[in-house]
This record gives sequence, C-alpha cells and structure tokens, in this order.
Amino acid sequence: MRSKVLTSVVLVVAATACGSSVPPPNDQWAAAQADLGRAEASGAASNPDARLHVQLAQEDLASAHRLMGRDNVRATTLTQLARAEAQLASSLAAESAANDDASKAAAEMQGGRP
Amino acid sequence: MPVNLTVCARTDVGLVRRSNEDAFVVADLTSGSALHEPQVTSRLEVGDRGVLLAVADGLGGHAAGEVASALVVESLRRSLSRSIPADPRRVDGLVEEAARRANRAVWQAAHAPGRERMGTTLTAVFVRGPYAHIAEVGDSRAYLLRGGVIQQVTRDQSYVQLLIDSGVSPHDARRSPFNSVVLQAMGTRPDVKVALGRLALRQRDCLIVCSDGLSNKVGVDELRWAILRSQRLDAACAAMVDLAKQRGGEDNITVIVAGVSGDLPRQIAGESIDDTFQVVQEFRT
Repeated sequence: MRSKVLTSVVLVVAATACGSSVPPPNDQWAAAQADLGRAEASGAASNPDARLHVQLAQEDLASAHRLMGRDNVRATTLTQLARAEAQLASSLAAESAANDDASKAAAEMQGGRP
Repeated sequence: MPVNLTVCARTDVGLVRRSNEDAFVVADLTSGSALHEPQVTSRLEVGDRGVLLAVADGLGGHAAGEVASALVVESLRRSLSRSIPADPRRVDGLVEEAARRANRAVWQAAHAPGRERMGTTLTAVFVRGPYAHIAEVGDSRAYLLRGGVIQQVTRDQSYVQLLIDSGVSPHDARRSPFNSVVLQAMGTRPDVKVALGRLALRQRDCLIVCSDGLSNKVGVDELRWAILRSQRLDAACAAMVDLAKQRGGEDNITVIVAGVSGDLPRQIAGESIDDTFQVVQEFRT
C-alpha cells in the first residue's frame, strides 16, 4: 500500500503559501463563472478558435470547485486560469466576428462598384 | 520493468525577498494523485502519460510574479494531462504547444489591473518512456548528471548568454549592469519561441531543474558534488539550497532533482551526453 501511494504522486506547489492560510476563492470563482458566461454568450463555444478555451475554462472551474476547502492555493490558481481562458475565448470570438464583419463589408464594397 | 524516477524538490524564499515567486510542479500525469510535502523524496513510475518536472520563476520586481509562475505550471500540467502520442517527435510538438498555451493564458491574465507586467520563466522536463523532452523560456536551467559528468541541457535566454555568445568572458558578462535581463519570458507577449530539446535517457541519469536563485550562486561542479556525495536526494537538495543562501540568498531558490532508473540502456563507453541529446528547436533573438 505504501509503495502504491509513493508511486502515484502529483505534487504541485505554488511556493508562496500553504493551503490552510489561504481562503477559498469564492469571489474569484464567481467572477470566472461570469467571464465564462460572457464568452459563451459571445458565441465562443461555436467558434473554432475559441471553443477549446471555453472547454478549458469549464474544466478549470470544475477542478477548482472540487479543490476548494482542501487545497485553496491550487483552487485559486485554477480559478485564475479559468478566467484567463474564458477572457481569451471572448477575445478570440470577438476578433473572429470583427474579421467576418470586415470581410462582409469588403465584399459589399466590391459588389457595389460600377 | 518501467522507467522510474526518484524525485526530490525544494523551494526557499531566500534571505532577502519577502515572498517566493518561484513555483514548481512534479506531476505523475498517469495517476494524478497528490502529495504536498515538497521536501520528501518520492518514487514515481513513469506511466503512459509521463511525468512532468517544471520550474517557473516569477520575474522579480514585476507585478504578481507569483501568480504568473503558478499559472504557468498549472496550465502546463493540465495541457500535458491530455492524450499523449506515442511518437517522441509528436511529443516534442505537444510540449511546445502546452508551453505556448500556458504563455497565452498568463498573457491574458496580465490584462488585469495591477498585473500588467507580470511574467515568468519556464523550464520543463517531460519524461515519457525512454526520453526526456525539455522546454525552456527564459533562464531557468536544466542539467544532466551522467557517469560523473554534469552538463547544462538548456541555454539561457538572457543578456549574459548573449554577451558570452559574442565573445565576452563569462566573468565579465556576469558583471554587466544588465545581468538580470532575460530575452523573453512567459506572459509578456502573446506568443513565445519555445526552445526544445530531447534527451535519450540512460540508466542512473540524474536530472536537475532549477531557478536562477540557485544557478547564479552555485556552480555546476558544486551541483555535481552535492549530488555525488549525498546519500539521499533530499540531502543533496538541502545542500544546494543552503549553499545558495550562504552566498547571499538574494533571490528565491528552487530545485528539483530526479534520479532515473528502470528499463533503460546503460551509457556505453565513449558515449557523450551530446550523443544522446537532440536540439529540436533553438531560441534565436
């Protein structure tokens, strides 16, 4: 049993603090959830460039939620990562939409020429 | 018999800094279970998904360096936890993609107020099967100790290294007023050029990954001796960190030491480290 435990190890350390001294990132988690909601509302989940980042944000949020109370340091990091992924998804979706609009406008201008 | 790693890691705030902006990860990506005692020596069996060893050094003086370093190691671990291809060349690409994705996440997070200039170095060693895939952004280092010979297997992406490459002596280069400048860091631009290497492992190899809080204070021969004369890896890690602190300990100090054993070829007579190390992708300014 001991060898089993020793051979299946994951060790992740954010070196600044131990889990017990860090509060659960409830507010950050809610903010990340809101960012993810905005990304989904912007159509990121159906955008090929942004879809993966939406998925990663969802996974990070779920992992952070599971860790809250047990490992608040890592839960905080995962929540920050989820926010970054969600915001990145929003940016990519917005960029894609802007590119589409620009293409349409260019096509219309071409079509309108005598 | 599979490949096994005996790993010990240690991080220390040093004697001057008020916080530790270094982060590291030692992750068995096959099992995913956790241990929270970094100074304990652990024995890991390298499974199908591999083992990740990585050090990130949040940039001193920049806002939220500790956030950047923690984000990078977490993102890297997450990306590499997904499916891993069998072909080592494809694993190189996967490691590069994971590092670039981690960079993008930190870059995005750096848009938050107060974190505009946050960044971090990254040196990651991903061990899978008989290979170690090494990725580097910045100036954290990886070394290999094999058959009593130690060699740096990363190349610092730093101003000092640039001076040395142009013919300035290492002694003079380190005295430059710009001796703490890194040429690129994770999170400071939307994309990075990841330096990549692949090492064919041999029986009794020893891998060392560290932040510059160690490598700036402890010479390569001293690292070698710390390992060779220590009976245990935790004692070797402690000796290295203590030596860096005796010499001022101005920076945060982090080191991971991993001894390799199991189903691997032995080093053959006359075989150098370079014979088994392939530069997959260089960083060029």
